[in-house]
Amino acid sequence: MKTMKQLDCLYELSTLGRKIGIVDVGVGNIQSIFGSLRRLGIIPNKVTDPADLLGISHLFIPGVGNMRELMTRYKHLRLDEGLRGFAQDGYILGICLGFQVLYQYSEENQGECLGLLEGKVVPFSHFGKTSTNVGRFTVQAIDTYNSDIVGSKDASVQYYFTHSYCVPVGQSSTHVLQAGLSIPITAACNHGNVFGVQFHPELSHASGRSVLRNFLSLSN
Amino acid sequence: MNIQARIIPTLLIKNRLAYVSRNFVNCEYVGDPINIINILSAHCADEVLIVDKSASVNGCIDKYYLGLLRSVADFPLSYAGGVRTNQHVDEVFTAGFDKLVLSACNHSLIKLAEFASNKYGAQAVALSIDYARNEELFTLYDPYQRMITSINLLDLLSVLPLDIISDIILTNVISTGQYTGINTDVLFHIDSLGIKNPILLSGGLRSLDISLFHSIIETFETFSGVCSSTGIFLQSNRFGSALVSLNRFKG
Repeated sequence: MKTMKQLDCLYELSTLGRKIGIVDVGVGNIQSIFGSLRRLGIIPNKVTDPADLLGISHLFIPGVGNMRELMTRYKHLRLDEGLRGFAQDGYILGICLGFQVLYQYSEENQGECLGLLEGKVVPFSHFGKTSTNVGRFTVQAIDTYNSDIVGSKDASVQYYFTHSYCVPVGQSSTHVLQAGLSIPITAACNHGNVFGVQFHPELSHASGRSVLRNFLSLSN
Repeated sequence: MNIQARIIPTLLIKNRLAYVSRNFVNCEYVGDPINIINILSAHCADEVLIVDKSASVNGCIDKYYLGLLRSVADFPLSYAGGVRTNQHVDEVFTAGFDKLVLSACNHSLIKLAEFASNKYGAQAVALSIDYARNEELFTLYDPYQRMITSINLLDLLSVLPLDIISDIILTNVISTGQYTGINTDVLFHIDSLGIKNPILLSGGLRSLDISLFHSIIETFETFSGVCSSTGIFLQSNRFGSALVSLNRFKG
């Protein structure tokens, strides 16, 4: 039986030749995702302007931030156009705020987002008993969810959520994974090679590492 | 529905060493914070709150060390201590921390909370309120003056901008470090305000009492969990047993 270290080495070898990127515009927690990828044996590249996207195969859009601030910086750096163009060929994984920015519209900034996924982002308080959803929750598949990156068969697997805004289930034709709450919010979503997760895989222990590995294993 | 209480160990750090204290004094060394974070990572801790007392004294954020702590943790990290300027706020988040905890008793810190919320989102900001109970009165404790004030807890909560933050951490200063058990009376006391923020209780945690947490959640939907000093995990070799209890609770 191979040890975890051997498996990680094998994993590192399997990702050789791929250029992994993390969007860094000064908003968002990139150190958490950096640390998680380093533990997987991967040294990612920072993407701070559209030119940095050249050669990137898999791109992370990290979480933690305010949508208004994020979109202002994207537009200033012309990364909004760059990311829309990148999504045609490369793989994108948006995390938390990075997931919400993939949609068409957010009430947080009262304005448009990247529009790579159909739907809009609304305050969590519209549905929940609390203003912020914080904690570790399971997820469950609905409709035709068939993503390869987030498993839903094991009901004991939990992911860490912390967010004040959310994407309601049922407003989009894309594949959706619902958070294991009494209220229907989207936990994960994918459309083509654009993936998003409302939870934080980089803060979700082994179950989160599995999501990162699965995403990085995607290839054309 | 699988709502569970969050168990958040609190690491008190001075000069890059971890301590526990009783009523904020009588600090006792308990270990190297990086080792403790590693152990908590191995035990799949929910979250950890880092309180850096040195930063409060020195007036600067030990951003290099915070980055080191981040690099070994694969769970959310919150930070409190010494944050006085917008630059300090940026340094905490740039180091990779997920949440900033600010004291609610200082008006200038409320301004910082607004700055942090506008830049990093409401989910990344928490307010900490220290209180003391005297019979039916719940009054604010001023951590800077180290004295119990006459300000009513309800009055303070009713004027705070709670829409720009996520968690409210309510610390009972009388029972901090005393292992007398979490006091849930404060939840009844503030219930009339209709607060929608997740509420964390701190001070006096004696054990990870599963039935107690379940009963609190059933009564108060905003109850989110407890913050505990590391003493509950580290003293008297209770570290392992406490986390076993936590995993049993989760399972």
